[in-house]
Amino acid sequence: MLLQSAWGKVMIQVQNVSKTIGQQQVLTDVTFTVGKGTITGIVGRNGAGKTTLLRTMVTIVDPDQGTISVNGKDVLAHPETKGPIMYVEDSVEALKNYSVSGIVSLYADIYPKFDHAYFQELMDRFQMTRAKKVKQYSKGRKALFSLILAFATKPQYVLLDEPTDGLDVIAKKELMRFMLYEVAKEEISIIIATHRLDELESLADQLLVIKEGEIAETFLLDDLRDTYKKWQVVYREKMPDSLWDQLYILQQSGRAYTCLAVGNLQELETELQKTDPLLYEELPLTLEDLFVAKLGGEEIAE
Amino acid sequence: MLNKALLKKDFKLSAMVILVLTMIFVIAYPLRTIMELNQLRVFDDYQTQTHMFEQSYHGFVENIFMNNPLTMFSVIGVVVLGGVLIGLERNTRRHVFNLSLPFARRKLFGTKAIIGLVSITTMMTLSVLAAYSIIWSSEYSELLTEFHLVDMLVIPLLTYLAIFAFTLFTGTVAGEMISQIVLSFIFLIFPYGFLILTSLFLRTHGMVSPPIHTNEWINDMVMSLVLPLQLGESGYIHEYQWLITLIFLVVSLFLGNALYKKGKSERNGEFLLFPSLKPFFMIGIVGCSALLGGMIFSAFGQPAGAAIPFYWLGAIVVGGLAFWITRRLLQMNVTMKNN
Repeated sequence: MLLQSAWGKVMIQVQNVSKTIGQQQVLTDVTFTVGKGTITGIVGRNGAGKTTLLRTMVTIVDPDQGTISVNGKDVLAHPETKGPIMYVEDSVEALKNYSVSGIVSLYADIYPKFDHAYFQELMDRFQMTRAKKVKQYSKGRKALFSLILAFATKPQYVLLDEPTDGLDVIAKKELMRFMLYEVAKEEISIIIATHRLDELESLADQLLVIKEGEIAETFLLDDLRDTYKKWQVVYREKMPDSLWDQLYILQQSGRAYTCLAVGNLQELETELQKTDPLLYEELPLTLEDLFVAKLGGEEIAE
Repeated sequence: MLNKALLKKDFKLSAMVILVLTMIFVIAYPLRTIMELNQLRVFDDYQTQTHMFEQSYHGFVENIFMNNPLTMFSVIGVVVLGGVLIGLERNTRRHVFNLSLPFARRKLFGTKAIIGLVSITTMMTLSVLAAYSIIWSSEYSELLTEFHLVDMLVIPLLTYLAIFAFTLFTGTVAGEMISQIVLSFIFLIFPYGFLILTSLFLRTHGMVSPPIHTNEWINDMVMSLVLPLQLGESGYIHEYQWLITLIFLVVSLFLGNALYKKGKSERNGEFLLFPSLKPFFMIGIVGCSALLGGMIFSAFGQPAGAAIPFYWLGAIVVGGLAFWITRRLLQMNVTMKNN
């Protein structure tokens, strides 16, 4: 509900979704909302439930409990509500025997807003050659092709599962820029499931940390810089115990400490100064730091 | 209303099987008619072969439209068509892609059903019409007085459609294509097979057969549910065969549609989509295999007057083997990454 008020109009609402597959509880009481024109990152280890959550949102997987609504309509009861949602997993893998023109024609038939000119523009922009069959593209090119197809349908929501897998660094950066541009220009909402924290850092507005099928933490990235600070501190001997208890120590190398401050940052900074360190400086905060401190990082950040 | 994109997508997927099926129907009806007419002319030309001519002449229309030697292939083609439309999708990622589309599952299932039903109806009707026209334009056109629309087109067509609909239904229970096809064949002949197996069990043990084996009406009713038999040489059994087949068709489509909505995609590739059915299948497969094993082994014991011990030996050996295989089958997961 916090997010609803932060973003005004809520577009996708996942409410108390639970799912058991076989004997395993894959999702437990998952609730979150996605606002218009935002990028939401879903992060977690392999097998944490990210893919199942995305698949549940487009009814590939039926939830045992809970509802998913888009613009106030339940997607399970009204499948046509999925019209403006593009789920990009391995969609072209399913249609890899199609020719490029065949797949474009199929998408144009399914999604009435499919923009042929924009499709071509994106193909040129990403220097995608027209392969005879989709299966002739490399893994990275296939991933890029699915994204181009998805955005050419002029969707309101794009659900991406590990979208940058197989892409080279340049294509990856180009893609990130492109996604930000789409969000700004078209007010598209993007939901990305990934374990690559570094990619989300520059993209996401909201982060959902999923651990063993549950939403372990929710962060709004705008608030992050106001709530957390990362310092590097060096002492003559060792860090005083009073401070040690109040900070998350990310790394210690001899008398040098890299630590994370949470809570009343001004008060903590004053206290730090009082301990008379040899040196202290603020470092840029990364999401990985946050996960290491808050959630036993290696599990999340890999 | 059907969606053009779904029709195009599913038609592309099944086009090869539809083409093969078309060839089978073309060979079975118009091509065979041409060849049989030539044969008839040869018999007609040689006065010494009068008897053979008479035989061919009088049974000509029935032979062409009811005693089709390619029936087995067309039944296989129809079942494979159902398998490609539903089961193959579950073996690959196409099912996940389909479910992500903005269409109700009812529509996804309806599209597959329409493609199969319309293709089979078109292929068969055109082939029968072509064969009819060939006879009509020949010097033996008078033979067409023996042509009965219901017996020679309506019932066989309804039977093919019902077999297809039944295959779609098994596809909503099975988790992948091979199990769908195997289950379809097993259950298409199940009433007939079960009657034989149980009657042999009772006979071997000197028991009195219940009415299901002895009562002609019940027997006919059971046999009329064995759809492939209606396409065989003996033709259909029941007076209201068309009605029985039509009910079979409608019920299969109704159940298939209902179960397609309930099937869980996370079970794709498994032998069965519904775990609650596993005990029934285990008992059914092992039980029927044991009966079959007993039937086969009892034949060896018969000369020595030891039919019953041999029956039970066969039942234990084959039933045990079936138990071992079924346990593995029910645990399997067949998903193809590259297709």
